[in-house]
Amino acid sequence: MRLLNLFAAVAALSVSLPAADRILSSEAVPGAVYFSPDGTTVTASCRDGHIRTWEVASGKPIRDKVIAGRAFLIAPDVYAEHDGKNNTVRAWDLTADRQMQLVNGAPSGRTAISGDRRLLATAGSKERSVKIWNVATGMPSQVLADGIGGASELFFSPDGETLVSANYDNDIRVWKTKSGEMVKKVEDLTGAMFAGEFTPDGKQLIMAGLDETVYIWDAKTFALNRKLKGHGETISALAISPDGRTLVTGGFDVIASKNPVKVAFWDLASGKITRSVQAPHQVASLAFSPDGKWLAMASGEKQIELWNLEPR
Amino acid sequence: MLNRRTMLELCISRGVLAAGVASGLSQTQVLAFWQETEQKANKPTSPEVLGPFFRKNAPDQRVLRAPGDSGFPLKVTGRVLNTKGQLAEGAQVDMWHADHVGRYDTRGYRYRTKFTPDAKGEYGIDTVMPGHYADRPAQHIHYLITAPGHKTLITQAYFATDPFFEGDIEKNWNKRGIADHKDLILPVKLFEGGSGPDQPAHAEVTFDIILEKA
Repeated sequence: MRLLNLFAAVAALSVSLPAADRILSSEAVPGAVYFSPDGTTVTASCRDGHIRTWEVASGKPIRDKVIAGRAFLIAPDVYAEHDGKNNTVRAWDLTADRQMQLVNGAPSGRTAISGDRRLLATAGSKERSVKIWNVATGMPSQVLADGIGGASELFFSPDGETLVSANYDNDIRVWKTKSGEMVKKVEDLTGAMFAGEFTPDGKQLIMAGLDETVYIWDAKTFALNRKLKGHGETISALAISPDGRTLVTGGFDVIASKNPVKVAFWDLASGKITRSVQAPHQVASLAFSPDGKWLAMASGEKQIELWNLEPR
Repeated sequence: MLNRRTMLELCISRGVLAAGVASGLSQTQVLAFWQETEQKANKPTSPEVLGPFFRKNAPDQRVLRAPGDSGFPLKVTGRVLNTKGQLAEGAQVDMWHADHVGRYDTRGYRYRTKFTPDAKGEYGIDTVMPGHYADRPAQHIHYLITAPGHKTLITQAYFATDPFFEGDIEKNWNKRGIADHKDLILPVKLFEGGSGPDQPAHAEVTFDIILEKA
């Protein structure tokens, strides 16, 4: 009886589950992962240059697109193809298999696209500037002075009016995309931010990175609202549920990069971790399905893990 | 063949034109010689990437090696100058590296320092030889150097003794694209230890940093 109690206590403490609910097998390690808007498929850009799509219901691969250069999925149906020699980036519509635009003067690095697909942002890893491009014309609309270390994260607000770049020099810069005005510079962090997202309602900005802490800013005033500690590892990916209530964070172990790592689910109202699961190692990307019922996770292995989040 | 020192002595004692006449070189040749040697001597240090593990606000500490540390003791010395051979006044140097098994301290400031070189532009740091880690399998020390009136330099120092280079820098310096520039791979002097505990076997490298004027 005492042993059973001990087991129960251990089970209550250790909330990790033995395995994901569904595994999508990949021939190469996936990086960025997205659900399709209807939630029926998952797409990922992989290290071998392929962009692969799976059906969620069956877990089977349904599309394998081979890209000549280095390609990164930057939206559910948009990928950026980098040509480091010629400093060009091509944005492609994956569904239509059509080049949306080619921009010249964009060294390889981070790329982001606004939700309405009108703006593309690029930040080269060695270039000390961030550029915002008009997707329709292929011309830069803003060239913004960035930090000295290269962008560690780059993303737009849901309405496309704000662009955030985090830099390996530890600073974060927030710009208005129309005017190019820098509305906020965060300079008091002592570690780079590797992951960030606005809440779906656009009211909060959430970022996390080297220092294992989740930072939540008001997206209007950019005042720091809260700091959430407890993930316990460097955070390299995060996702916010479509209802804005749950944050999920995943990272890597700087002590042993092949060690299993934690993926933590946070209740954003209370700021508490409500559940954590184990990932193989080095979480590259996390994505909620549009209905919030699934979490997709890329974490260093040749697979995508799908976790069913429906109450059981 | 005149070497740089001989040329310098001739120029100092007789003036450039006289040196040219005396050595049988034309004035143009003397000028070209000067320019070439000066450029070589003061070539700006090659840049490298900052990497994900930089942390701002490191404390000024010159001894990064703690008693009992397992890593092989390493002394890093050098000077911070500009391409004209002048002191880069007000220079500040961030140095950081992984511990002997390739781990960065992401919570504190172990093996991290930020300092100002002395009045001669010299610095000296006691630390341990960095380890290898999967993503960057060559031992290296990161540097970030700022100085008023100069371009900020981000670079890395590598070690010629690193097994990664397989004992042949000429052949392997750019193996797997890890080190971007051969000049960043430093010769390493190895010293046998003395009899006392304060005289351990250790390695020494010199890394002079040449900044460009802004």
